[in-house]
Amino acid sequence: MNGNHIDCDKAKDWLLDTKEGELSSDEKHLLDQHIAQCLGCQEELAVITELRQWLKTDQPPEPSPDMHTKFFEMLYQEGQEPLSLPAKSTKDSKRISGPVFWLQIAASIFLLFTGVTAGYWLRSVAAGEVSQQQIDTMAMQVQEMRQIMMMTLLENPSAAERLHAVSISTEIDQADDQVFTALLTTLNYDSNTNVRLAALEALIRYTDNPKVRKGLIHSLPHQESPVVQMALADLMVKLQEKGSVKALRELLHQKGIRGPVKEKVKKSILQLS
Amino acid sequence: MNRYLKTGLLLLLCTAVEAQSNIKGQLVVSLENPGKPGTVDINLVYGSINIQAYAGTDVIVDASGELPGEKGQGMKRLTKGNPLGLSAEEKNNHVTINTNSALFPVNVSIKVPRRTSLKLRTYDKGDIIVENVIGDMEVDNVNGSITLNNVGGSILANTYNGLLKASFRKISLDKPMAFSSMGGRIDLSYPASLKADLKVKSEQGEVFSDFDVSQGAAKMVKSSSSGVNKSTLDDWLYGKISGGGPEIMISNYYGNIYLKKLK
Repeated sequence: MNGNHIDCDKAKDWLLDTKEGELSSDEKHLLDQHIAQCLGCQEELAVITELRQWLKTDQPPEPSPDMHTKFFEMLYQEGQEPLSLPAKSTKDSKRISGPVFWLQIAASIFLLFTGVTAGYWLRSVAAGEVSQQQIDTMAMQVQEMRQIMMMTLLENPSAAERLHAVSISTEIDQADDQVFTALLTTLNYDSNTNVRLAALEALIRYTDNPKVRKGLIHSLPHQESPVVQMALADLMVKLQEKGSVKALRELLHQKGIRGPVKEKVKKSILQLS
Repeated sequence: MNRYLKTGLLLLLCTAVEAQSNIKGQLVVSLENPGKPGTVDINLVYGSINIQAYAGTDVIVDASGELPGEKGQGMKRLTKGNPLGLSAEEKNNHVTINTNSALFPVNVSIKVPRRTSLKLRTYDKGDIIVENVIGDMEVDNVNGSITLNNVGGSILANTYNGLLKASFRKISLDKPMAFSSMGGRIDLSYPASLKADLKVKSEQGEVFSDFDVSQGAAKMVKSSSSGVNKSTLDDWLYGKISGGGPEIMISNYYGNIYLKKLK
């Protein structure tokens, strides 16, 4: 549509609206211009005006007194000839002109297609959200299961299983206090040197946790294995944990501490103080 | 509850042999359930342990020791019935062997069914040798060496001063292993098909391997004291062999670490 001219279709549309006061003054102006030029539209305007006039003035006819009986008569007749209804409807459908009919089919196909597509799309979006949620929940469950498995395995009489438990603990993303306590207990009391060593190695990643650091310091005097003693002393130096000096001194006085460990611990104390 | 078989199931032979106070003893322990792998648990203070796999189903313990003390001035020493203190307990396929090894060195050699788990420990005056056994093993020595030859299963071995040597038969590894030492060399031979995650550290020694080890990044040691956050690289070396698998942890202080392909 350009700004100055309107065609007959548009004009006819607007003609219907004009009396309702739904047109802006610009539109009305354009319409008037068009009508002045177009004979067909002038006729249309005349018809519409007449129709409106008629609608306004014409009173709805009063039902005749015998309408009631006539209605039931007709109803009865309809009942007598049941085929007349479909016949009538085919007549109606014939009245729908070709292009409109096909347009309707096209529209319904289009609507169906849009509906299916939208539904499918919405469903896949929703399904995506749901499956992401499910994955999150499952990931959490796996974490919990790992933790439970680790706790259970740490009680196992077989050292191989306990070692396995410690290595599972490194797969737990967000270890909590329970995990720390379990690992520290293993570090202090496990009967196997290698399991204790593995527990210490697993704890290294949590040294920024104050509880773990405290636990590691407390663990120093408990250790009897030279390998673990030295590894712990090393870690304290690496952490620059000055709070461990007292525990290291205690370790130095432990009965049966071996020469190389003694040297190492002395060196560590020097490095820390 | 289960049957509790106690002490000296079959004390076949326990005689003082000749002079020199050299004493020998033998025990045969049958497992409660021979169809299932058993566990042999022995804890010595002085002495060596030698374990060999054989085709039978019993656990056969041979112990020998030399009594301390006077040489008897040409006379024969009359000893009490069981000077080695050799005894065995069996419960649910778990065999615990006891000796008087705290008083004098007792050398124990044991024949076990091929599939047997082992828990072996000695402190001094002896080495530990295990051959051809398949099973989970906990092996600890303090002053002696540990030699595991053609074994299978998950191994946790620790020695303080001695050599730690292990070679593995072709068998799938499904559980983690750990080897640690202080001054001794650690020498491990695995089949070329090994898939494993490695975690290795030798404080002052070197690490050698002819496996293709894809090295991972070192971990951070985080610490925060009085408001200062500090991160140091961890000393552990992390790596994967053939895409990774069960974890093998090897830790040493003064000794070297060798990880070899079995030829």
